[in-house]
Amino acid sequence: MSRATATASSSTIQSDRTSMQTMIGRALARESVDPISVKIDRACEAACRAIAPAWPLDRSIAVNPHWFRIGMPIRRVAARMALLGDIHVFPSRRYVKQAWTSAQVGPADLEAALSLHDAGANGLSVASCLDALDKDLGFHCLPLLIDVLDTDPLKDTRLSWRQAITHQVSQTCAAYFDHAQADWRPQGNQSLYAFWLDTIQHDHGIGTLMGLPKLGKQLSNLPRTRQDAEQWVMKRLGLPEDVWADYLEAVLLTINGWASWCAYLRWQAELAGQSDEHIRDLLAIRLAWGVIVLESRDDRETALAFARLQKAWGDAHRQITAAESALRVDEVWQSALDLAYQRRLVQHLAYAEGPSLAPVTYDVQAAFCIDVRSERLRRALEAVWPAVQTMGVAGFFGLPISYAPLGTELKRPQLPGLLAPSVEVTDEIILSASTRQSAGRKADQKVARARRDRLAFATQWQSGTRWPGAAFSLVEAVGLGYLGKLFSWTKPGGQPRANADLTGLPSRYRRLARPTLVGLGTEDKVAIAGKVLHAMGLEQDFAPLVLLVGHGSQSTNNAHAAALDCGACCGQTGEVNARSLARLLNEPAVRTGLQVHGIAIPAQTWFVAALHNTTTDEVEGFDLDLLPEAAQRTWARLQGPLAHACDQVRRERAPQLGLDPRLSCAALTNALRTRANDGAQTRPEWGLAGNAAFLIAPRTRSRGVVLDGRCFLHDYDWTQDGDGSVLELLLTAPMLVTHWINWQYHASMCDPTHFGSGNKVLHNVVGGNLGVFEGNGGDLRIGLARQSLHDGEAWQHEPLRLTVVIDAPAAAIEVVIHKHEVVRQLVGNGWLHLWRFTSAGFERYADGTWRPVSLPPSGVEAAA
Amino acid sequence: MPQALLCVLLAPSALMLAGGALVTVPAVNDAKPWQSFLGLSAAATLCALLNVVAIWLTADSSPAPHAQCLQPWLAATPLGTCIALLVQVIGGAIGAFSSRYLAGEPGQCRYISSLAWVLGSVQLLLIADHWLVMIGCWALVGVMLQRLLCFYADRPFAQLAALKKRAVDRLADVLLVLAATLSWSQVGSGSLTELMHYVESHGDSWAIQASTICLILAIVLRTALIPAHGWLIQVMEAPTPVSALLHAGVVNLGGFWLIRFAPLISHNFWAQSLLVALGLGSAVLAGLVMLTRVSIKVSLAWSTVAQMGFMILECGLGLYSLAALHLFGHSLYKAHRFLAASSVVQDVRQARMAGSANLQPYSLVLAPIVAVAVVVLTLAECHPGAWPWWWSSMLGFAWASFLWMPMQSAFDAWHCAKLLAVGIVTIAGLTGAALLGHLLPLDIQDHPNAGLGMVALFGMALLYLSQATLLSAPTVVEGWRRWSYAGYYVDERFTRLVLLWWPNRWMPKVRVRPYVALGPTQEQS
Repeated sequence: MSRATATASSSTIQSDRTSMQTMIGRALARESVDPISVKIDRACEAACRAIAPAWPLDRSIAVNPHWFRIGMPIRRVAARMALLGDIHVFPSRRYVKQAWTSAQVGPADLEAALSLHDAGANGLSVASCLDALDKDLGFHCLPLLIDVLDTDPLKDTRLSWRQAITHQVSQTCAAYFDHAQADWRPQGNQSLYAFWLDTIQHDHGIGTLMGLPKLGKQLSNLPRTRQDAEQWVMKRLGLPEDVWADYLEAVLLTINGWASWCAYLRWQAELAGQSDEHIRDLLAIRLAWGVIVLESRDDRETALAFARLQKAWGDAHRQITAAESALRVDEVWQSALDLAYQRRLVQHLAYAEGPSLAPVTYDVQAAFCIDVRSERLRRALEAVWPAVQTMGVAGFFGLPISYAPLGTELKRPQLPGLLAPSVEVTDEIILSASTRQSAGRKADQKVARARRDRLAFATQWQSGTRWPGAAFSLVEAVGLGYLGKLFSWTKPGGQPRANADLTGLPSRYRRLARPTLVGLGTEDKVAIAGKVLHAMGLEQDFAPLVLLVGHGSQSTNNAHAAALDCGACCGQTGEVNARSLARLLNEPAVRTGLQVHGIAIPAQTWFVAALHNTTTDEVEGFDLDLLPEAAQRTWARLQGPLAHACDQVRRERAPQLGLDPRLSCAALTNALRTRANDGAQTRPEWGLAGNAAFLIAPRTRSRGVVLDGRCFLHDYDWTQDGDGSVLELLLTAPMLVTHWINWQYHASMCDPTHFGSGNKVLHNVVGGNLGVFEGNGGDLRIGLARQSLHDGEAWQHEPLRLTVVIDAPAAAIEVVIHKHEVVRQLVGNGWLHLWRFTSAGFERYADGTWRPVSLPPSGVEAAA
Repeated sequence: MPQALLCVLLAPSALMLAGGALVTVPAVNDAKPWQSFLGLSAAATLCALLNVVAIWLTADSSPAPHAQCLQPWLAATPLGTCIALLVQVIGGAIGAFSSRYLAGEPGQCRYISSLAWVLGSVQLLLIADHWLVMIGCWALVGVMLQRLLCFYADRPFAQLAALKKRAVDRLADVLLVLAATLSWSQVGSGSLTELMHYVESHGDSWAIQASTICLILAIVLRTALIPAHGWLIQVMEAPTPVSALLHAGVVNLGGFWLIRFAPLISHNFWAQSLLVALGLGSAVLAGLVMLTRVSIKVSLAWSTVAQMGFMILECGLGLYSLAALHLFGHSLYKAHRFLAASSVVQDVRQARMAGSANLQPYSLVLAPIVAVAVVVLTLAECHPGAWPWWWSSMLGFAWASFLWMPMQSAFDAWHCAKLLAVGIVTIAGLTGAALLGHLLPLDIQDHPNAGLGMVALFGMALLYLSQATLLSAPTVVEGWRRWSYAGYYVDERFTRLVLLWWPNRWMPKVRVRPYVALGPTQEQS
């Protein structure tokens, strides 16, 4: 639409709108044959499809916020994000400058990065890269309708419309999606858009904040439906068709937090084979706000605004291309940072023990989660007791389960967010190894009933503080009792981790409630067991004791506690998965069935579930009372080395937590527990901070190497994987999970405003588990808090792209790359590095070929 | 002896004020400012405890040596010293919490000194016995609080909240000066003790009455009742412990002063009515708003507004001992709840385990009847006449929610019976606990006003009815919910008024990440 047309049309907003409504009405009546409507619909859908989901707080798992943008090269995404939402994808130049001055990245890395990107051809040199660090990016984010209309001379004395609108939309979303915080909630099954319309038309407050005191009167012209709002904007703005989707994505990015929540709802719906349109409603709401502010401006201003908008967006693609080449420097620096780490990694891996010559028989095998925090414990355990073989597998142990604690209404997934659960686990009361099942059933019912009663009493008591009428007098009666609770904030205790899943269970049954797979016949069980063992690479050479070690964290008063738990278990601890799998594999019928599949588990082999507390580095075993005596003896024998190994890990972690590593074992354990039980502690542990690489290889490739808790480790032996199916699984599931984690940390650090949740001391939990606000309101905040990445003095993470190192033949890897577009995109577009072990060193995969990696120690390190 | 007592009496405020000054000294600042603060705070707590003991030991000697210290400026009262201890305990706990919570944040020394000064000036305010001291200290509390509210100075809503708080404070100052002038001109002295003596011997005059009205308006403003509540709700822009401090030890000072001025208020029907009207209004309206809030901290803040309304209501009804009890209970309760705000995720998870069920409609009707009966019977058994019958009825309405029966147990009589039994025992136990608290020797005289008591009972019945309606027939009250969700637009209007009256720049000058539009004037900063 030309400028002249825009000016002419702006004076006839009303008639335009009317005609548009009629048009849409007609279009709808004819099942939308209007080609423009279809195009608009497609653009809206494309914009909505660009937003990655954000899981709720109690199931918080890491996600790459650019997940749906990986189809584009990373630099292009960076350019688009900068122009569409003022979002940084690469590390800030300030950070890089710091890394450079502190010699974290050196000249050798920069030069290597330059040659990697063939930067000479683009006129980049060491000097120009260093020069750029002192300069701004040199381009700005593109304006939206609400920005170009916000021209009031007093605009600096109030909230910008962008902020105010985000605030209002955010509050509406919170009211709509909340199902736990408020006791008096909106009724009916309105769509999000209808609910917002209803709210805004009854709102008398937002105008004050926006400098539009008469706003309430201007709301009669609002689009009635989502479709109206979408169509209105795209037709009114007169933007070129090819930027529609970009403009709409920019609009969504102003409310990215809630858009991510809606994307989560859509993700869940689609996993269940349904659809979800909340995100489209959200987009429409933001678009309709354009109508509202448009009404507050006169025709001249409107025309001017349209003209500016069209000018800015008319050559959006050219600007994006320009930004893309401006960001070349940042991409080179990102690579230099990556290379600086890779250089160290290569050096370290050179010291690996390598395969042992004589066949080894192990006393104990222990399967840990691939989590970077397992690396330290595995290394320590192997060092303390060489007769332990450790393995790395995804922490949900391949069980696609959901868990429903006995006697409760709760049911939650315990598997990676990419998958939908297909099997259920619940607790069974098993008194001892010899109890019959029928006796257990009876006990189940009794315990479930007792638990329901207890939970009901708790609910009854809580009604005293929930309802204002009751709370008034309640605080008079029992308020003084809170003196003790208040005191407990000042002196946290050293008690061990408590399991929240046991709430309401009578204490004598707590140890007897054992998570068990239910509703499966023996054949299904055997099939699952076979699949799991195959994926773990554990089909022969079983040790007498096989530990399945899940992991979980321990923290108090922490809204983001789930983020420290096992991501592969959907933000829960791995306990349920480990215990139900151990029970499954100890079942005689299952073992008999497995023999048919060629997996012979010796009769003296027993599986034991355990939990690695990553905050205090303690390991707790489960269901030990069900083990035969011999296995219990092995377990007892393991305790000494295990305790020693844990102590080792605690000492290794202590300095990073500001603790003295020379403390006695008991004192250090107590210090860590106190920290974990401290409700004022915003940094109970560092979680996966520092993660940088993922090894898919036999343990011999890394055994004995100090990887500093920065590597995900998955065991894989390509000689046992004839058809490449295990490799395919690893590259399409665990690799994606590690990539998500890696990018959550990366994005939270590079753009803390949009992809980080801000300052923990201001966090205000929304809707019980939806997410947090920073302070009063504003957008829902996703990602990691500043305190999870920074200790107040220095960053505890480096924004690096994951280096995936695979021990497999080139051809086998290429098969997976060719078969799976996602893998191809991740590797080809620069979202991660794909390497493989060779006999001499490493090769990296780039542009469809394998090139040798040559990273001699840099000058700095060689000198040191 | 009096000299020693005087030292101890002044110690808490002196220690805290000194502590506030100390951490601004670079030598302390670089070393361990939190240790200095916590050490001083512990010492202040000990002194506050000694004061309570001293007051209690000398309660029988008349006039108490304590009360005579530094006449006419300062005087210790049993309630004042108890609250001083409470404030110091909460302040210390909040300090200890903050010392770990704020680790790594810039500006901690600024925080410590402001916290110490707030506590010090509150301590002084609690022993003030002169209009000038009272007005000065209260203003000082506000000024120091501003620094805490704007701990993150680049947050626009923090600035807006601080601006509103400033406006409210200045208005309250004007009212207090007015009240002081009126009373001083009548009594001939600024001493509050003398004012009480004067009222006792001469009765009320119009000037005293007018002074009382000004005083209670000032108190109501400082207690963040509707419509001056906006700043309290928006304090979420400051670190969590600041919210805990505010809700737990600063806004409720109004309650203390109302109890101090009880002799004036209980002679003044208009003052009482005003207190009942404003208190009841805030209790009911803010209580309903709280039910609609979607974020934990804002919900807690609204709950505080409601609770403050209830405390003021109790003062208006002449139930000063209950108001004092409320002040203690609520402070501790709310401080804890705020510090624990982030645990809500775990709490919700537990609530989900229990599941949610609709309530039996009949139980909504029968619950208050049974509850009133339980309260009345318990009272008759233990201590008849501790409070008026209408108060017992109000308690019954309040605690009726313990007897609401979930729908799922309709076919499970045994489960239902257990819940009912537990509910009844709970109510009886709570009544007993309230009774015990009521008997604390705080040296407070109640002057129940039966007429206003009826009004309050009606108000609480209305609140119960609203709760029952929104539970059983939510669609009927959907329009009302919308209004409640909007906070009845009171704060928006108040904000507009403040901005009109006091045009101010509440957007921080440097924005963290400014949006950059087209045009040469807007540069990225």
